[in-house]
Amino acid sequence: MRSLVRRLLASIRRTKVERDLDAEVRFHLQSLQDEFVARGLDAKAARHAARRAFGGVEQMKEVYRDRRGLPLVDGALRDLRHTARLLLRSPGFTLTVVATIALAIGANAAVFLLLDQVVLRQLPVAQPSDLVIVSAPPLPGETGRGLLMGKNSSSDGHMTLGVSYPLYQTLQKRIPLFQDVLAHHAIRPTLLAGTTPMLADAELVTGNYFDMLGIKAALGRTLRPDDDRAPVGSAVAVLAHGFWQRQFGGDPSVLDRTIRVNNYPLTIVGVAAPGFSGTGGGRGPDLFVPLTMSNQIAPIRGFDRLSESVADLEAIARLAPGVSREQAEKYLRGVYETLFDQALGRITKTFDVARYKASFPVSLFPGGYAASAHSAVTRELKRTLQLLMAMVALVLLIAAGNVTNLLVTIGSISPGAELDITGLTGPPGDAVTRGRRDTARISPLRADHGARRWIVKRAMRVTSRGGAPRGTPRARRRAVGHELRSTRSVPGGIRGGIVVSSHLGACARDERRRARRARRRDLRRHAQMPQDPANHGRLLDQRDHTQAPATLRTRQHVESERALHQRRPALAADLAPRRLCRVRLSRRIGHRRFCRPTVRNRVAPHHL
Amino acid sequence: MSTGTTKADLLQGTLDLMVLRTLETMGPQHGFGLAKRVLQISDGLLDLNQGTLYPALLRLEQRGWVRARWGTSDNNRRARFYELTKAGRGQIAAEEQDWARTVALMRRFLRPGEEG
Repeated sequence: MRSLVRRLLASIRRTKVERDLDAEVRFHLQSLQDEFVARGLDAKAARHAARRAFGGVEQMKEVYRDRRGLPLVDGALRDLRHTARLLLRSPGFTLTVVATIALAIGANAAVFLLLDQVVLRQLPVAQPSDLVIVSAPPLPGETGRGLLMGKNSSSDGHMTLGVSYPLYQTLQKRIPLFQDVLAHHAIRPTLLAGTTPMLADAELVTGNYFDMLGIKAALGRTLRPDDDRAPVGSAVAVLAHGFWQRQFGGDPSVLDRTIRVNNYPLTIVGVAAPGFSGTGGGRGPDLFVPLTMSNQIAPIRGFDRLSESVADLEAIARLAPGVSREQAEKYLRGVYETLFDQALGRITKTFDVARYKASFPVSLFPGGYAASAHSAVTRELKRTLQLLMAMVALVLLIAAGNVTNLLVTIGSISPGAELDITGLTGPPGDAVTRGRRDTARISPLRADHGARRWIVKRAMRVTSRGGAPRGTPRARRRAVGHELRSTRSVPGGIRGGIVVSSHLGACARDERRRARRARRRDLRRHAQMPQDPANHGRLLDQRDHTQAPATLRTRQHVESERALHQRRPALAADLAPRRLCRVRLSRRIGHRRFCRPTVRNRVAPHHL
Repeated sequence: MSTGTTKADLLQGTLDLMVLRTLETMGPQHGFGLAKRVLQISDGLLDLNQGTLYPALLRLEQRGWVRARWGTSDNNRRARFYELTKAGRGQIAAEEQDWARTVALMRRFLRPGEEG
């Protein structure tokens, strides 16, 4: 556990630990060098001898690094750095791509935020899933003037019918499957709160509205059931929090102030809790007024808004615990039939409400979402939002397409030779292609122009060459250079980042195979090298860090070496492994882990 | 391959103990000194590969058995000194027992009938 933490730390504090490692190795080499100098070698020879005695510095560091950090984290960090470097190398390109993608994502985020608020998220009220919207056709009633009805299509395309105030009262009192029922109706009155009149969104609500939704007052009080006294309720109003902030600057002295709604004076008694904006979503109402005030502040000529003849209230019921919507609906239909028959018996003049009863049966709709509300605004909003969401999603797709095109263009004109260079200096394992893959993860096609050539090269190697470039490094580079020229004329070649990244695995395999071949070739060469007579034919050049953790020598070997030291100090240094490593950095990659030391000056062994 | 030249697997397990023991007897020591000392103690028989020594030191450090800090060497150079921690001392005892068990076990196989 502690070890894990340390390794994780090492992965993160890479620069420091890397510096430490460098210093430690340097110290070791210097000390070795001192020793060789003491044995009589000149400074330069001693330095070389020290390097030889130490063995492959880079290999050792590689082993050390694997042990030090978490290879997976290390690798991922390194590859990310590599990717960032690649992207930084072409800032114009990166900027274009980032801007394109950012715009598309921004649009998506904005629209999704709206969609989430209106359609997906439940209302910020107590137990929104228990809420149902009641839709019931009006009961036959006797009025001299006909019927005003609210009629809306709800979220799922159903029509919800508004209820009248008497019907609402019946629902509230007579249905035991409902915990409580509220009714509300939005109006848009003229509001005079200071000196300038303005249009405001007001919500006529029943007295139990706030209690049932579980909304507390931020200031003063909310409406209470006793504000509902019919026929005329209390002349009070509760402000929405947002409106209070906007219009009154959050001034607490707003309480008890009188405002005029449609020129009817109302006293402000409270401010609703922040975050609540009615049951309809969107900006919501600015103020809440008792429903029983509707005849005063929003009169309809010739109608009593609280009578059967006006059925424009949206009734929202809270189901009693354990009652399902279907159960309640079935029960409600039964009750409604009774009510209907009773009403029929009372009247003398028939209304054509039977038609509504037939086409729009009493129904309950889920009421927990903003878009399920009955307001025309949110209903429209929902459809618009869904459309908009689809549109911006398409925009994102187009943006991705544009970026792809850009990459195709760039990929077809820029040769980018770094893969070939690293390929020649020989990276460990699949480091090169891994970088490619990670670039592909961030910007799918940035990786492509290189990767594509890998694929092409691979194909060419199979078809025309039948093997990796052989010979001296220079010859190999020439060979690849030839390939570079030929691949540039390969038309198209890109079929999208997904295809390419799937090819990359194959590239990595190919690279590994190539490395294996090279190792075998090296071994064959070693076999032809002169052997150490003092050590039972052990190869002079057999110090391989990945294989033997230590060399256990025979007494005879030690003796003979000592003898040699005494006779010829310079020769002793030569007895040490003769692989002098020179690390050549690939400048285009600019990272030492992407290259392997190449074997330089393979000196012919001295004759004993 | 000639026999007796490399015993890689066996050495891997014993290296920790060698390093810990060396640190115990010599006190804080840097990597170069350790390598030299191991070569010396083994009378030149065991030439530690640096590619093994440093990762091994790191492993010991990660396990909390040794502690590393920067200091100045005899030849006035900045060097990384490793010293034994308390946990490291405890580990030596444990590893010693382990090693003794291994040796005893091997003896039973190599010279059956001798133990007792």
